[in-house]
Amino acid sequence: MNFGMIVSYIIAGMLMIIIITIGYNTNYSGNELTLSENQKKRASEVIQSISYDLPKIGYNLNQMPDTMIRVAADNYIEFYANIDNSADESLELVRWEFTSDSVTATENPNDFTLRRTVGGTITNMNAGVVSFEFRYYNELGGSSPIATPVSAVSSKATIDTINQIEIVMVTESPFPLQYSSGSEPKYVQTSWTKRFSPVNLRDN
Amino acid sequence: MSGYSEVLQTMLAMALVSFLVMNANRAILTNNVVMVEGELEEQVIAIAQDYIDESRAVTYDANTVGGNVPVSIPGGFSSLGPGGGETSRANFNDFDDYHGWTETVTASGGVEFDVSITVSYYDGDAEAKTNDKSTLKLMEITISSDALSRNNNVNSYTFKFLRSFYAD
Repeated sequence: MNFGMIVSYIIAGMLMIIIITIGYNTNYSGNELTLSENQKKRASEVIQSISYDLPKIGYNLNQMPDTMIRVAADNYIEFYANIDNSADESLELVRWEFTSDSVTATENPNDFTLRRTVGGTITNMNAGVVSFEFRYYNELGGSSPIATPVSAVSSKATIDTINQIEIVMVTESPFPLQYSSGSEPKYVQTSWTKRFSPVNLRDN
Repeated sequence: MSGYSEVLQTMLAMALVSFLVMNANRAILTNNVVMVEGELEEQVIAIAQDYIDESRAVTYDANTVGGNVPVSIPGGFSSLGPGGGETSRANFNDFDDYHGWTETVTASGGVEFDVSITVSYYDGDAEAKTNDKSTLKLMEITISSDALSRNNNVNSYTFKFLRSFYAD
Protein backbone atom coordinates (compact mmCIF):
# COMPACT_ATOMS: atom_id res chain seq x y z
CA MET A 1 0.00 0.00 0.00
CA ASN A 2 1.54 3.29 -1.06
CA PHE A 3 1.70 6.50 0.94
CA GLY A 4 -1.06 8.23 -1.04
CA MET A 5 -3.47 5.39 -0.32
CA ILE A 6 -2.74 5.57 3.41
CA VAL A 7 -3.32 9.31 3.53
CA SER A 8 -6.51 8.85 1.53
CA TYR A 9 -7.84 6.30 4.01
CA ILE A 10 -7.06 8.58 6.93
CA ILE A 11 -8.77 11.55 5.30
CA ALA A 12 -11.70 9.41 4.20
CA GLY A 13 -12.11 8.24 7.81
CA MET A 14 -12.14 11.83 9.02
CA LEU A 15 -14.67 12.73 6.39
CA MET A 16 -16.91 9.89 7.47
CA ILE A 17 -16.76 11.10 11.06
CA ILE A 18 -17.59 14.64 9.92
CA ILE A 19 -20.54 13.45 7.84
CA ILE A 20 -21.92 11.37 10.70
CA THR A 21 -21.53 14.28 13.13
CA ILE A 22 -23.23 16.67 10.73
CA GLY A 23 -26.12 14.28 10.27
CA TYR A 24 -26.47 13.91 14.03
CA ASN A 25 -26.32 17.67 14.67
CA THR A 26 -28.85 18.43 11.97
CA ASN A 27 -31.14 15.75 13.31
CA TYR A 28 -30.78 17.06 16.87
CA SER A 29 -31.55 20.59 15.76
CA GLY A 30 -34.61 19.38 13.87
CA ASN A 31 -35.81 17.48 16.92
CA GLU A 32 -35.30 20.56 19.08
CA LEU A 33 -37.36 22.67 16.70
CA THR A 34 -40.15 20.09 16.50
CA LEU A 35 -40.25 19.75 20.27
CA SER A 36 -40.31 23.53 20.66
CA GLU A 37 -43.22 23.90 18.25
CA ASN A 38 -45.12 21.08 19.98
CA GLN A 39 -44.53 22.72 23.32
CA LYS A 40 -45.83 26.06 22.05
CA LYS A 41 -48.96 24.28 20.90
CA ARG A 42 -49.42 22.69 24.34
CA ALA A 43 -48.89 26.05 26.02
CA SER A 44 -51.37 27.71 23.66
CA GLU A 45 -54.16 25.57 25.13
CA VAL A 46 -53.52 27.15 28.52
CA ILE A 47 -53.13 30.60 26.97
CA GLN A 48 -56.45 30.32 25.15
CA SER A 49 -58.30 29.14 28.25
CA ILE A 50 -56.94 31.82 30.51
CA SER A 51 -57.40 34.48 27.83
CA TYR A 52 -61.06 33.42 27.70
CA ASP A 53 -61.61 33.60 31.45
CA LEU A 54 -59.69 36.58 32.82
CA PRO A 55 -61.20 39.34 30.65
CA LYS A 56 -64.62 38.21 31.93
CA ILE A 57 -63.91 39.02 35.57
CA GLY A 58 -67.08 40.52 37.04
CA TYR A 59 -69.09 39.91 33.89
CA ASN A 60 -72.86 39.60 34.12
CA LEU A 61 -75.72 40.44 31.84
CA ASN A 62 -77.08 43.47 33.66
CA GLN A 63 -75.28 44.22 36.87
CA MET A 64 -71.71 43.64 37.93
CA PRO A 65 -71.18 41.90 41.27
CA ASP A 66 -70.04 43.96 44.21
CA THR A 67 -67.07 41.66 44.75
CA MET A 68 -65.36 40.73 41.50
CA ILE A 69 -62.06 39.28 42.69
CA ARG A 70 -62.41 37.15 45.81
CA VAL A 71 -58.78 36.21 46.38
CA ALA A 72 -55.65 37.39 44.61
CA ALA A 73 -52.54 35.36 45.35
CA ASP A 74 -49.37 34.83 43.40
CA ASN A 75 -50.20 31.20 42.62
CA TYR A 76 -53.97 31.43 42.35
CA ILE A 77 -56.85 33.77 41.72
CA GLU A 78 -60.55 33.47 42.52
CA PHE A 79 -63.08 35.71 40.85
CA TYR A 80 -66.78 35.90 40.11
CA ALA A 81 -68.29 36.01 36.63
CA ASN A 82 -71.33 34.78 34.80
CA ILE A 83 -68.89 32.77 32.76
CA ASP A 84 -71.54 30.55 31.15
CA ASN A 85 -73.61 33.62 30.24
CA SER A 86 -76.66 32.06 31.88
CA ALA A 87 -79.93 33.96 31.56
CA ASP A 88 -80.64 33.68 35.29
CA GLU A 89 -77.50 35.77 35.87
CA SER A 90 -76.08 33.31 38.36
CA LEU A 91 -72.42 33.94 39.10
CA GLU A 92 -69.77 31.25 39.03
CA LEU A 93 -66.72 31.28 41.22
CA VAL A 94 -63.76 30.78 38.89
CA ARG A 95 -60.42 29.70 40.32
CA TRP A 96 -57.12 29.37 38.50
CA GLU A 97 -54.42 27.72 40.55
CA PHE A 98 -50.88 26.63 39.88
CA THR A 99 -50.81 23.58 42.12
CA SER A 100 -47.92 21.72 43.65
CA ASP A 101 -49.20 18.46 42.12
CA SER A 102 -46.42 17.06 40.00
CA VAL A 103 -47.47 15.69 36.62
CA THR A 104 -46.62 12.01 36.63
CA ALA A 105 -47.62 11.31 33.04
CA THR A 106 -44.53 13.03 31.67
CA GLU A 107 -40.83 12.32 32.06
CA ASN A 108 -40.27 15.92 33.11
CA PRO A 109 -39.97 16.18 36.91
CA ASN A 110 -40.40 19.97 36.87
CA ASP A 111 -43.95 20.35 35.53
CA PHE A 112 -46.99 20.82 37.72
CA THR A 113 -50.72 20.80 37.22
CA LEU A 114 -52.51 24.03 36.41
CA ARG A 115 -56.07 23.76 37.70
CA ARG A 116 -59.14 25.62 36.49
CA THR A 117 -62.21 25.32 38.69
CA VAL A 118 -65.52 26.79 37.56
CA GLY A 119 -68.46 26.40 39.91
CA GLY A 120 -66.87 23.31 41.46
CA THR A 121 -66.03 21.66 38.14
CA ILE A 122 -62.32 20.95 38.00
CA THR A 123 -60.22 20.88 34.86
CA ASN A 124 -56.59 19.91 35.25
CA MET A 125 -54.20 21.18 32.63
CA ASN A 126 -51.01 19.24 32.22
CA ALA A 127 -49.33 21.35 29.60
CA GLY A 128 -45.82 21.23 31.00
CA VAL A 129 -46.16 24.33 33.17
CA VAL A 130 -43.05 24.64 35.33
CA SER A 131 -43.60 28.17 36.57
CA PHE A 132 -46.76 30.26 36.77
CA GLU A 133 -47.20 33.51 38.61
CA PHE A 134 -49.99 36.06 38.97
CA ARG A 135 -49.07 39.71 39.53
CA TYR A 136 -51.64 42.36 40.32
CA TYR A 137 -51.40 46.09 39.59
CA ASN A 138 -53.51 48.97 40.79
CA GLU A 139 -52.54 51.36 38.00
CA LEU A 140 -52.44 50.92 34.24
CA GLY A 141 -48.93 50.15 33.08
CA GLY A 142 -47.71 50.04 36.67
CA SER A 143 -44.35 48.47 37.40
CA SER A 144 -44.86 47.54 41.06
CA PRO A 145 -47.31 44.73 41.75
CA ILE A 146 -49.32 44.87 44.95
CA ALA A 147 -48.39 42.60 47.83
CA THR A 148 -50.20 39.27 47.84
CA PRO A 149 -52.21 37.37 48.94
CA VAL A 150 -55.18 39.72 49.17
CA SER A 151 -58.66 38.59 50.08
CA ALA A 152 -61.92 40.43 49.54
CA VAL A 153 -63.06 39.22 52.93
CA SER A 154 -60.32 40.98 54.88
CA SER A 155 -59.01 43.60 52.42
CA LYS A 156 -61.82 44.51 50.06
CA ALA A 157 -60.60 48.07 49.61
CA THR A 158 -57.20 46.81 48.47
CA ILE A 159 -58.51 44.10 46.19
CA ASP A 160 -60.90 46.55 44.59
CA THR A 161 -57.96 48.69 43.45
CA ILE A 162 -56.68 45.95 41.13
CA ASN A 163 -57.15 46.86 37.48
CA GLN A 164 -54.47 44.81 35.77
CA ILE A 165 -53.42 41.19 36.18
CA GLU A 166 -50.17 39.91 34.75
CA ILE A 167 -49.31 36.29 34.17
CA VAL A 168 -45.77 35.02 33.80
CA MET A 169 -45.67 31.43 32.64
CA VAL A 170 -42.85 29.09 31.71
CA THR A 171 -43.49 25.68 30.19
CA GLU A 172 -41.22 22.77 29.34
CA SER A 173 -41.44 19.83 26.99
CA PRO A 174 -42.72 16.52 28.41
CA PHE A 175 -39.51 14.66 27.60
CA PRO A 176 -35.91 15.78 27.28
CA LEU A 177 -33.46 15.96 24.47
CA GLN A 178 -30.05 14.55 25.16
CA TYR A 179 -27.17 15.38 22.85
CA SER A 180 -25.05 12.47 23.99
CA SER A 181 -25.10 9.87 26.73
CA GLY A 182 -22.72 11.99 28.81
CA SER A 183 -24.62 15.27 28.51
CA GLU A 184 -27.38 16.62 30.73
CA PRO A 185 -30.93 16.02 29.50
CA LYS A 186 -32.40 19.28 28.26
CA TYR A 187 -36.09 20.19 28.31
CA VAL A 188 -37.18 22.64 25.64
CA GLN A 189 -38.60 25.73 27.31
CA THR A 190 -41.08 28.39 26.22
CA SER A 191 -42.16 31.44 28.18
CA TRP A 192 -45.20 33.71 27.98
CA THR A 193 -45.98 36.97 29.72
CA LYS A 194 -49.29 38.74 29.38
CA ARG A 195 -50.97 41.56 31.24
CA PHE A 196 -54.75 41.55 31.24
CA SER A 197 -56.89 44.66 31.74
CA PRO A 198 -60.39 43.29 32.37
CA VAL A 199 -62.93 45.87 31.28
CA ASN A 200 -65.01 45.49 34.43
CA LEU A 201 -62.05 46.49 36.57
CA ARG A 202 -61.62 49.73 34.64
CA ASP A 203 -63.06 51.92 37.40
CA ASN A 204 -60.99 50.30 40.11
CA MET B 1 1.60 11.42 -9.96
CA SER B 2 -0.15 8.08 -9.67
CA GLY B 3 0.78 7.96 -5.95
CA TYR B 4 -0.99 11.23 -5.34
CA SER B 5 -4.06 10.79 -7.48
CA GLU B 6 -5.93 9.37 -4.48
CA VAL B 7 -4.95 12.42 -2.47
CA LEU B 8 -6.32 14.67 -5.18
CA GLN B 9 -9.53 12.70 -5.23
CA THR B 10 -9.78 12.93 -1.46
CA MET B 11 -9.20 16.69 -1.65
CA LEU B 12 -12.11 16.89 -4.05
CA ALA B 13 -14.18 14.85 -1.65
CA MET B 14 -13.22 17.27 1.13
CA ALA B 15 -14.44 20.17 -0.95
CA LEU B 16 -17.75 18.38 -1.41
CA VAL B 17 -17.99 17.62 2.29
CA SER B 18 -17.23 21.26 3.09
CA PHE B 19 -20.19 22.18 0.94
CA LEU B 20 -22.28 19.65 2.86
CA VAL B 21 -21.08 21.05 6.18
CA MET B 22 -21.99 24.59 5.17
CA ASN B 23 -25.46 23.53 4.11
CA ALA B 24 -25.99 21.57 7.32
CA ASN B 25 -24.85 24.56 9.37
CA ARG B 26 -27.23 26.76 7.44
CA ALA B 27 -30.08 24.36 8.21
CA ILE B 28 -29.20 24.32 11.91
CA LEU B 29 -28.95 28.10 11.96
CA THR B 30 -32.32 28.41 10.24
CA ASN B 31 -33.86 26.06 12.80
CA ASN B 32 -32.47 28.14 15.64
CA VAL B 33 -33.64 31.40 14.08
CA VAL B 34 -37.14 29.99 13.60
CA MET B 35 -37.21 28.82 17.21
CA VAL B 36 -36.02 32.12 18.69
CA GLU B 37 -38.11 34.28 16.35
CA GLY B 38 -41.20 32.23 17.13
CA GLU B 39 -40.68 32.77 20.83
CA LEU B 40 -40.06 36.51 20.41
CA GLU B 41 -42.98 36.98 18.04
CA GLU B 42 -45.31 35.41 20.58
CA GLN B 43 -44.06 37.96 23.07
CA VAL B 44 -44.58 40.76 20.53
CA ILE B 45 -48.20 39.67 20.11
CA ALA B 46 -48.70 39.51 23.88
CA ILE B 47 -47.30 43.04 24.31
CA ALA B 48 -49.58 44.40 21.58
CA GLN B 49 -52.56 42.69 23.22
CA ASP B 50 -51.57 44.26 26.55
CA TYR B 51 -51.93 47.74 25.08
CA ILE B 52 -55.12 46.88 23.22
CA ASP B 53 -56.69 45.42 26.38
CA GLU B 54 -55.56 48.37 28.42
CA SER B 55 -56.87 50.94 25.95
CA ARG B 56 -60.24 49.17 25.87
CA ALA B 57 -60.45 49.54 29.63
CA VAL B 58 -60.57 53.34 29.38
CA THR B 59 -63.28 55.43 27.79
CA TYR B 60 -63.55 56.24 24.09
CA ASP B 61 -62.84 59.93 24.43
CA ALA B 62 -61.73 62.52 26.95
CA ASN B 63 -65.22 64.03 26.71
CA THR B 64 -66.92 60.74 27.59
CA VAL B 65 -64.99 60.17 30.82
CA GLY B 66 -67.28 59.53 33.77
CA GLY B 67 -70.21 58.55 31.56
CA ASN B 68 -70.57 61.98 29.95
CA VAL B 69 -71.77 62.20 26.38
CA PRO B 70 -71.06 65.26 24.22
CA VAL B 71 -74.09 67.06 22.82
CA SER B 72 -72.66 66.82 19.34
CA ILE B 73 -71.36 63.46 18.11
CA PRO B 74 -68.75 63.18 16.70
CA GLY B 75 -68.09 66.94 16.63
CA GLY B 76 -67.92 67.09 20.42
CA PHE B 77 -65.09 64.63 20.70
CA SER B 78 -61.68 65.86 21.77
CA SER B 79 -58.47 66.30 19.82
CA LEU B 80 -56.20 63.27 19.71
CA GLY B 81 -53.45 62.82 22.25
CA PRO B 82 -53.05 62.95 26.01
CA GLY B 83 -54.50 65.85 27.93
CA GLY B 84 -52.71 68.04 30.44
CA GLY B 85 -51.01 66.06 33.21
CA GLU B 86 -51.47 62.77 31.38
CA THR B 87 -47.81 61.88 31.14
CA SER B 88 -47.90 58.19 32.01
CA ARG B 89 -50.15 55.24 31.32
CA ALA B 90 -51.37 55.37 34.88
CA ASN B 91 -52.88 58.80 34.11
CA PHE B 92 -54.47 57.84 30.80
CA ASN B 93 -58.23 57.87 30.98
CA ASP B 94 -59.31 57.69 27.37
CA PHE B 95 -58.44 55.78 24.23
CA ASP B 96 -56.56 58.45 22.31
CA ASP B 97 -54.32 59.32 25.25
CA TYR B 98 -52.11 56.57 23.83
CA HIS B 99 -51.52 58.64 20.68
CA GLY B 100 -47.79 59.35 20.41
CA TRP B 101 -46.90 57.01 23.26
CA THR B 102 -43.47 55.37 23.01
CA GLU B 103 -41.93 52.99 25.47
CA THR B 104 -39.26 50.32 25.74
CA VAL B 105 -40.68 47.15 27.26
CA THR B 106 -38.31 44.61 28.76
CA ALA B 107 -39.78 41.12 28.53
CA SER B 108 -38.76 38.02 30.42
CA GLY B 109 -35.29 37.02 29.35
CA GLY B 110 -34.18 40.65 29.18
CA VAL B 111 -35.19 41.20 25.55
CA GLU B 112 -36.17 44.81 24.88
CA PHE B 113 -39.04 45.75 22.61
CA ASP B 114 -39.59 49.29 21.36
CA VAL B 115 -43.26 50.19 21.29
CA SER B 116 -44.79 53.19 19.56
CA ILE B 117 -48.50 53.91 19.29
CA THR B 118 -50.56 56.20 17.13
CA VAL B 119 -54.29 56.79 17.33
CA SER B 120 -56.30 58.41 14.57
CA TYR B 121 -59.91 58.98 13.71
CA TYR B 122 -61.21 56.52 11.13
CA ASP B 123 -63.75 56.92 8.38
CA GLY B 124 -65.76 53.70 8.23
CA ASP B 125 -67.26 54.45 4.82
CA ALA B 126 -63.99 55.30 3.16
CA GLU B 127 -62.19 52.64 5.21
CA ALA B 128 -59.31 55.03 5.79
CA LYS B 129 -57.86 57.27 8.45
CA THR B 130 -59.28 60.74 8.56
CA ASN B 131 -58.46 64.07 10.13
CA ASP B 132 -62.14 64.67 10.84
CA LYS B 133 -63.64 63.53 14.12
CA SER B 134 -65.63 60.33 13.90
CA THR B 135 -67.13 57.60 16.04
CA LEU B 136 -64.29 55.25 15.15
CA LYS B 137 -60.70 55.46 16.31
CA LEU B 138 -57.86 53.38 14.94
CA MET B 139 -54.96 52.42 17.17
CA GLU B 140 -51.75 51.30 15.46
CA ILE B 141 -49.14 49.67 17.63
CA THR B 142 -45.67 49.24 16.16
CA ILE B 143 -43.25 46.97 17.96
CA SER B 144 -39.64 46.34 17.03
CA SER B 145 -36.63 44.81 18.66
CA ASP B 146 -32.97 44.52 17.87
CA ALA B 147 -33.31 40.84 18.74
CA LEU B 148 -35.63 40.46 15.78
CA SER B 149 -33.38 42.23 13.30
CA ARG B 150 -31.80 40.46 10.37
CA ASN B 151 -28.79 41.71 8.44
CA ASN B 152 -28.99 44.93 10.47
CA ASN B 153 -32.55 45.50 9.26
CA VAL B 154 -34.87 45.88 12.23
CA ASN B 155 -38.13 43.99 11.74
CA SER B 156 -41.14 45.86 13.00
CA TYR B 157 -44.61 44.48 13.61
CA THR B 158 -47.71 46.63 13.38
CA PHE B 159 -51.01 45.74 15.02
CA LYS B 160 -54.24 47.62 14.42
CA PHE B 161 -57.25 47.92 16.66
CA LEU B 162 -60.41 49.73 15.65
CA ARG B 163 -62.63 50.99 18.42
CA SER B 164 -66.17 52.21 18.02
CA PHE B 165 -67.80 54.78 20.30
CA TYR B 166 -71.09 52.90 20.03
CA ALA B 167 -69.56 49.60 21.11
CA ASP B 168 -68.65 50.99 24.52
